[in-house]
Amino acid sequence: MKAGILKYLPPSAQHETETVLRAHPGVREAAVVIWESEKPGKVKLVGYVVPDEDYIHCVLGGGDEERKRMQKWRKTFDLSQFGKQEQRPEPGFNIAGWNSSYTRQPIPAEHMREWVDLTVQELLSFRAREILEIGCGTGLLLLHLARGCERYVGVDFSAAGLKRIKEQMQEMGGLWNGVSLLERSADNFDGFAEDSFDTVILNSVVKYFPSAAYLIGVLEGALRVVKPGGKIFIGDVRNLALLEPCAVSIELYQAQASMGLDEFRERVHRRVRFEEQLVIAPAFFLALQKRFPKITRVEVHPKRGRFDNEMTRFRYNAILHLQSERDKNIEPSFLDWAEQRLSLDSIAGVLQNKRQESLAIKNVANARIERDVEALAKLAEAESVRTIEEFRESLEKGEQRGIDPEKMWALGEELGYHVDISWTASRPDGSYDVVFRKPAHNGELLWADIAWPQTYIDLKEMTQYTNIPGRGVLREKLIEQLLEYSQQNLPKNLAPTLFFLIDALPLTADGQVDVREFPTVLMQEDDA
Amino acid sequence: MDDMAEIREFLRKLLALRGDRQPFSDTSSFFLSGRLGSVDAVELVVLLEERFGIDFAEVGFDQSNIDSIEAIRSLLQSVRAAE
Repeated sequence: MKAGILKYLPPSAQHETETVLRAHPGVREAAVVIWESEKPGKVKLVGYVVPDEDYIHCVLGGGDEERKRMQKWRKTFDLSQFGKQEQRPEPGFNIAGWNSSYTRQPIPAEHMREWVDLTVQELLSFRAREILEIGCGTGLLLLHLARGCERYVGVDFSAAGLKRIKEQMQEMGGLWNGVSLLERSADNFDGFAEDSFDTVILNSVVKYFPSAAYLIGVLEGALRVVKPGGKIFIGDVRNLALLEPCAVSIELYQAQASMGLDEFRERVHRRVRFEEQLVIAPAFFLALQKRFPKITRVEVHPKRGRFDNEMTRFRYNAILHLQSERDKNIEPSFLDWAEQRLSLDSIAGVLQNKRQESLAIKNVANARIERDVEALAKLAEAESVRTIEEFRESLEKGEQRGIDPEKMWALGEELGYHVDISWTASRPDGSYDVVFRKPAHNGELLWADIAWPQTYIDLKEMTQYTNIPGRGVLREKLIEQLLEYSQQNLPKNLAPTLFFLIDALPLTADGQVDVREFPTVLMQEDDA
Repeated sequence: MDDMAEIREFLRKLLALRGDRQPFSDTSSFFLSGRLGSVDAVELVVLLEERFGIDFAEVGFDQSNIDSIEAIRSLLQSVRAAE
């Protein structure tokens, strides 16, 4: 596929076509041009439309869309449990359905084991006696946490998953007193008394919520049922600030060496545009804190883990502390990673030699995703003739300066410092901020509310901190309508066969439509 | 419209709603190739369950069973043969 050549229609034909298009309720503005392939012969009539957003959301989106979306997710879980398994899964470790976005094959068991173990470890440190887990799935966490609790309520909308949990409980044997399993949707808090749980767990589930509004509703419910001093754990959240590097990363892994860069860019855009899951910027949780004073402290940290996968690269855990007794407000003075040209060695040196009480560093480059962030930046450059093979080679030459967050945690453990790593800044390069603190002399670590560096984004509405799942499909529905509408209301030679939805018609200085600014159309060069 | 034509049209629409209007053959991979995702697989599963009476809880579910027009045709044949 190569970029086509743009041509104009005769003015009267252009006027006729654009008038008909504008009459469609989903269209605010329209412009039509002809694209011809370099080797003449292939011609496409293309419509560029500025859509009516209300039409997209109200008519095409509709109130029922959210419910349908949830039902589809539920079915994917049910189906994941209907697979024919050669070996019976190990009780307490049913990872059926956990596939890598890169390979589309199951994520290696040892990666999942680390993922489960670290999450369980973090939750055990809360020392909760009464837990509500929303989205307990196949019991990956429940089966390791429930027996340490007086009360453990596991909620999920997948009957198949809950059935698997019951089977595993029987296989593992022993008593499971105090555990109840409820089949219901995440926003159903019926029968849960106010202030009755120490912890509410939402692990790897919010990405299946249909919207930011739904998420806020669920969190409001959780806030009501958690005791003062309790916590809400929102785990394995996909970071919106990294949605594009993530898309580049996955597409680059899958792309054939001979693919052209124009086509590659289109694939990346499409992956972002058609994102079905709810992806959230860490700053969302700071905005949540502003809205709900019951939240007195917010922690957002990249996931721990030594394995390299999409979870450790692009996801985080958020912990909301409710009405916690704060012993200390800390306002560290942060060294800047880049400006000070710091390295893991120099940091270790400072901690060891100076034996400081604390050390704070901001803007630490994240080695886990440095390459992906660089790839995204390079992709935006104007060169378009190169192939994926050449693109990959050019990336390998880049220098790696960043530090894997896991190494910071390991360093702290080695030298006797408590380490806090934060992603609240939500920077698009995935860089993080870190504070090392020596525990008090009796070994107790004072709870601290750390004043982290300012967030990269500061948005008016809380809902703007997430994407809109399925938005791409709604826009395509409009395009499908426009294609059919064109066939029915325009003569054959004037009906566009391709549509692009754009934010605004680009205008020249004279106020004419500047067609040179339209997205390029790739034309098939050979005979289809 | 015969069964396979109905299924082809359904898949054409699913692809179009992902902005993919490239043609496909009877052996083109939809899911294992990543052309369509798990949410789309569910749409197809619901069609096969409701229109063609396949019970995936019984038959077992594997994306490769529905990955192409040819695979779906085989699945339908084997389900009907079992009846």
